[in-house]
Amino acid sequence: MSDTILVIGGGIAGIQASLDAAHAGARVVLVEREPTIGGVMAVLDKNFPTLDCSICIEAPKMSEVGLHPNIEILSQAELESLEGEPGSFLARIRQRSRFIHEECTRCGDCTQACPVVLPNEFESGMAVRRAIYSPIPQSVPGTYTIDPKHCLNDPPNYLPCDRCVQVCPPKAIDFLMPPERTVERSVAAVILAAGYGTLDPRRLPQFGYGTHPDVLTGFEFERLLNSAGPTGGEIVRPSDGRHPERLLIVMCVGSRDQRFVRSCSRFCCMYSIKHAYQALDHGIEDVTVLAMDVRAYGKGFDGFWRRTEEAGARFLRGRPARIGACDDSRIHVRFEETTSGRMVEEPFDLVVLATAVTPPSGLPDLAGRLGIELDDDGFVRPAPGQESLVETTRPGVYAAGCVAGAKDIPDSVSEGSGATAMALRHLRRRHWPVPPKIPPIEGIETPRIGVFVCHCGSNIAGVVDVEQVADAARTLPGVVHTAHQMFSCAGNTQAEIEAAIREHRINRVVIAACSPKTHESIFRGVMVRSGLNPFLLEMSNIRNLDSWVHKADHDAATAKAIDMVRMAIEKARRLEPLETSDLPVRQVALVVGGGIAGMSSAAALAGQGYETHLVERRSELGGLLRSLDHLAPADVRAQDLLSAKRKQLVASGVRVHLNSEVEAIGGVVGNFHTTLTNGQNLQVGTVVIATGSSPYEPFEFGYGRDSRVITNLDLEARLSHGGLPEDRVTFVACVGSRQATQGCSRYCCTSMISQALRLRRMGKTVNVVCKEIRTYGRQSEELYDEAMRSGVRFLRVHPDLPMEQTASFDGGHVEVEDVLLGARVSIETDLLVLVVGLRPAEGGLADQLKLSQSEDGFLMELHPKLGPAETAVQGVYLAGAAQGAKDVRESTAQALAAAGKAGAVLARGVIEKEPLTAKVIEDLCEGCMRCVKVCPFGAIEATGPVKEGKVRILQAACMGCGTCAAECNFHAIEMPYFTRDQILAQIDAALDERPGEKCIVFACNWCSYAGADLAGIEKRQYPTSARVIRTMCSARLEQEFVERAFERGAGAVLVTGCRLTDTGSDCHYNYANRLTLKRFQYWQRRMERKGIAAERLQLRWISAAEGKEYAEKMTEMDEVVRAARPMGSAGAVAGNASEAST
Amino acid sequence: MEARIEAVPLDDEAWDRFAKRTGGAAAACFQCGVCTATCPWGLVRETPPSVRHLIRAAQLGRPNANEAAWLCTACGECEQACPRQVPIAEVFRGLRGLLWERREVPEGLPSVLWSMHWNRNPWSQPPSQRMRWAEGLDLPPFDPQAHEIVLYIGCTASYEPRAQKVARAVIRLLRAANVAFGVLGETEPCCGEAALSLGHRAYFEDISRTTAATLAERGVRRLVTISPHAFDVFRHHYPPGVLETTHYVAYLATLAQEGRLPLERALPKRITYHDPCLLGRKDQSYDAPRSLLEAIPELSLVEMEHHRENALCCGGGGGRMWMETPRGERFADVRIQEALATDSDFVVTACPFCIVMLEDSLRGMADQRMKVVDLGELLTLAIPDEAILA
Repeated sequence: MSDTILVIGGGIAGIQASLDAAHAGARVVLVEREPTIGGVMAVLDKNFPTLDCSICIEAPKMSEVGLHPNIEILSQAELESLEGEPGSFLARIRQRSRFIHEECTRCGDCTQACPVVLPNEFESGMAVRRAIYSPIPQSVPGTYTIDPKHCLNDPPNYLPCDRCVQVCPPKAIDFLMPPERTVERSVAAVILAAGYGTLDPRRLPQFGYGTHPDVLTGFEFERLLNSAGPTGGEIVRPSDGRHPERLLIVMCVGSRDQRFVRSCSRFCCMYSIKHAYQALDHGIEDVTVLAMDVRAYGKGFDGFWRRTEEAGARFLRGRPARIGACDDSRIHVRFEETTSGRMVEEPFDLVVLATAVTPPSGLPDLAGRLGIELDDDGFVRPAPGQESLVETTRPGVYAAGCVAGAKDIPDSVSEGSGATAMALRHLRRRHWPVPPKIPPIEGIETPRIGVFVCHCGSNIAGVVDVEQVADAARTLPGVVHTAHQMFSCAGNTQAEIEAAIREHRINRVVIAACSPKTHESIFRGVMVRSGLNPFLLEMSNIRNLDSWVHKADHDAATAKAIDMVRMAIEKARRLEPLETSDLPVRQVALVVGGGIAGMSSAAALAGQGYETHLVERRSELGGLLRSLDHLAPADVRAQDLLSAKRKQLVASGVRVHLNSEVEAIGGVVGNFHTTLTNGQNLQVGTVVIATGSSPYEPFEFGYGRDSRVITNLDLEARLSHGGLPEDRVTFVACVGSRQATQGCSRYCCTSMISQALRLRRMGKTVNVVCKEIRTYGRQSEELYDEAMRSGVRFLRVHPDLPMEQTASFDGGHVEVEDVLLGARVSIETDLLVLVVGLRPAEGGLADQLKLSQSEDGFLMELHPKLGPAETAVQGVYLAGAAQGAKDVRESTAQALAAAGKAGAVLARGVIEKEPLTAKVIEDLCEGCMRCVKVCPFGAIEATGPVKEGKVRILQAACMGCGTCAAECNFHAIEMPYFTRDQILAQIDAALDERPGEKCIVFACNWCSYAGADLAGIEKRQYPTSARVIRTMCSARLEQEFVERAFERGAGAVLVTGCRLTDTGSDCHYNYANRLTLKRFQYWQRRMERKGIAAERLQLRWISAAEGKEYAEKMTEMDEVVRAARPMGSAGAVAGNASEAST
Repeated sequence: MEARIEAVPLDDEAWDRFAKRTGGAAAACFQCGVCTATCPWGLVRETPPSVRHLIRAAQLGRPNANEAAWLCTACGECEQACPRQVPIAEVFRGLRGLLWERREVPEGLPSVLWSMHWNRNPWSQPPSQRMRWAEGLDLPPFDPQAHEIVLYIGCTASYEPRAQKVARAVIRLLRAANVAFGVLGETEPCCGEAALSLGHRAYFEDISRTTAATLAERGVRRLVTISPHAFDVFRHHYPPGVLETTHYVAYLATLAQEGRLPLERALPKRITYHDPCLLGRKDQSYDAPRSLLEAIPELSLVEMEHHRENALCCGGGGGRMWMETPRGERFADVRIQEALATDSDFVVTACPFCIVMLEDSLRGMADQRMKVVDLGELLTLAIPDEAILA
């Protein structure tokens, strides 16, 4: 039996599957065809509908994959064969060489030297790369790679180019590596997450792609929007470099097209809306979106569409007949606007095509090697009789993400987790990385600081005088050893550092080199191997934040490096050893709600071997599914599915509690205590909420009073009991959906069409009144097509009005205005079927668990993109329609995801907690309870009433943002590794000399610090005045930090953090940066009263992709510093807090 | 709220009848409007007929059969662009069928069908004169034992003087290539294209049944047609698998490929090629005619703005041949302008209807340097005299 899961494909679904599996103690082999993992998400600019920066939220996951000891990444590799049975497969994998050893420091010198210029496929071909390159700055693995097809050293190599070999400082390039190797891995299960491709729009010649340079695909446009992209985030026309005035976005290019891709590509509507929104945001005033239907089916999608329209985008219905050049260099587009029947021929400057999603290239071959079947649509065929797409036709092989049909990021993430939950059942053993046991260094109370300054070849030493930096460090108190090294991170140099630590009895280490984001874990490894606590390390990023961005001014860069090292030393002096703690976990799972989601989740958890309790308030399991007959589009009978699920529950040993509800629940992850209404008490480690939703109860169209008016659920019941006497059936869609804050209910279009088709086949006359049809799911569009061809008629009404205002029913006729006909029509109707939406179920469980709700009343997930099945409360997961309306297939996928997530927590029996969580100093606590209110995770408990009690941090729930510490007026909360004392010492050290020339920049670990790093990677030059202090979150910042900086004479202070917008936040701590904004506004007013001009204290959100913006802001702050020096000038400057809304 | 307008009832019965008539052609349309926007009527009218709207009305059982139903030239541009692959020309034929039922038919059309009935041709010409054009050509009656193919002349090339020249040219070419062919002579049956394209389905079925029986009786299997219209009807609207029909262009292209057609004489001319809709978009035969043209020494081919998939219709298809199109609304006028812009000596095409329409338009132009010729006619100029005489 193997203990390994093979994951094929390193896009977001594969990343999620790998991480979940590794967290659950499985070993993972992740095979990726490209040189880096990350997939499509890594090259997207922003994500809809929250406008999260895509790479900012994905990069941390990518590096986690890269660093996890349980995960082996085989990049540039492909599966060759898979033999054997579930539990003991033998996988043969062929891997192409990178020709570069892991000593590669990612300095980029080789790229500069390489004479071969090629289109960069990671920029959709819109920028260039060399034959030796790193695909994206955040590549994992980070080692550069050589494209042997284009390298001039390609065999026979009579006249080697070797330019890269000559410039590579650590001599990491090795052309003698075998070009290919085949490895064998024994694996227990396989998760296929091979992603998708897109249709070449040249196949639709009338759309002008390839003939007019200003007709782009959505992916090309995505790169134009990205500030790290080829144009630095400027939208320009490729033909002449000008800013376009008129933009057209065309949907369904090859999708929903009998000639190319019959199905709906599902996510293009939303990314097109996002493109429209961003184009407006970039200053293009005239933006038109041309669509047939707008499939804004997800949570918050309709709202985003509405906002984009309100922001000025013009949404028209139609499809271009021709997109072509005209004499005036503009692009002429001809279409019929179908709502008005008007012919339109308009010129545009730029046209963006939302191209159809296809199976990934090479999938038929790969499927053959994997021994799985594909469907007619070319995607992976799900196992028969199942409602989820995760199981393939070969046992032990699972599919996740777009390889099983187009889907957006959260649905791919869900399937990634869900596939893991299934795959884990084939494992018998789990592994957790064991830290090496090294005798600890003693006597660490008195700091003995060692400083190691890295040359990074010439990357640092070419600009900064590293010897001078080392010399300056040596003069500081407590520094017992300094050294400068060619490559501190190189294997042999690491050994040198270890030796120096032992020899000089060093107990605080400063590495002045590159970014802690990429290298901290490497040096923490050095610490551990030397017998030092890993938290006694501080890195000073004199490469990305200094030498790379101040190339022209060696002296100023050296002076800045000395400051930065001094800051690091002052922090290091105050570092304390920190221990990760293990919290016990009760390996018991609770699933609340016995519908299809709860049943699936419970079966998957029990299948992994955990004691699992399933609580259902009714006397029977099955939820809404019990009242359904047929499930569309998979053509599964609901009752068959239910009985299969019941069997699974029995077989896996789930303990079912019927007629019971959760009466009370409390506690934290690993240890929730629950009382059921049947009196039973349960102690569980994790909770899956699968409480579902309830169908909207209509009052419209005389429902309840007129027996000729029924709901689609009533119809389902009647259909399962045989036929209908009525001959003419009219459906009205969207009753109770898509109005006010209520979004699309997702399940209904497909389900309704399946009913309509069944009735039509019985010979009925069937009409459907709808706003538009949203058959976005796999094979749903095909069902829609079939229904139309069978003679079901669809009447489209105005989308902005509730249905009862658009349509009327007089008992014999439905009257509506069909916008496509442009006339009111009357439909003879014997039976009116109201297709009702889903509404959140009621219940107090959410309150007890402190779960928040979205605008529409459904439970809020941890993150709309990357945490669809998690909640802000660790250990509590969401499955099914409790989180938002879904169909059975989507509910099942999310249920499996929740089971995967919960299983990962339960697997080990303990949770390891980084020691960065808040600590209360009880003596200082006055019991004001302000921290309780601001904690974004509900991790602080009051132990008594205000002023009387104290507070207690629930270590298990605390995520370490520091919001509470900043809120506390009594210094009663301390954040380890980012203590008040340490930060103040850094401020003092930074401002030790010529403070007026400096700008203190507070940066958060996840976004703005990464943005600063990126400015370095991109070599964006800016003035040397910035001194960066990193915290985990901007909400850690205290008023005292700002005050201290100005007291010490700082020229300016800049607060930065993850982006916060009207629509969402990139913040990694559940919107904690909202508090940053609030506090900042207060500080600015307060400082102004003290005579500090508003421009000297600024706030700027910077995403991890905004290297350019970071550099620009630094230049702007430098001007502020220069202006402030002669005299403290007054007057507010635009562009600080107000930017929060941009 | 807007003023209360009387709602129109959906007529389920009309819908069912219409769906049956068109084989449910309109049902799949999801109303994207691409058809309306591609329709070449948009080139000659500010507001082209809304193809989409006509289909919509048909979908809702309110088939809106009116003047617009007669406009379609069955050029197939919309079908080519339609993401749903709706057979739009079929929908139009269905709408015309309703108008025949309601006796709402443009003047002149009934007499076309009556002529087919009395004369066995739509040209109101006596059946006894069918072979007059071939006097002196000594055409052998078809003999299944002796002949590779039947050359199907069709009504137009039999009676229309301009088209007759095309038939003669094709015969010279077949002879130059030593093809053993025969003709059906005075009893050659009408293919029924006019009845079909004018939307009289029932009558077309009547004709096609008789014609198919006649052809079977005479042992016909391989047909080569002069007109793309006859080719299309035999190919797509007759029982499949019985006849093997080829248009002469494709047939000649095969002959040329086999080295049987001696295109040897230099023709130092500049020409442009007009793709007939039924050969181009319908049959995807873009390369065959061009390969023949390219085989002629010293001939240079210049393409018009719209060519191949985007070629503009002459306006004569879909039964429009039998209807009057006022000046200013003739596609052929636009087409001739495009052809003139290429500065060619000849605009070459391969359909008798196209020739009639294009010549008609050219006649009205000031610029008379260019001539409209059939591809067959042009090819005869490239055949050495000896080959023709042989």
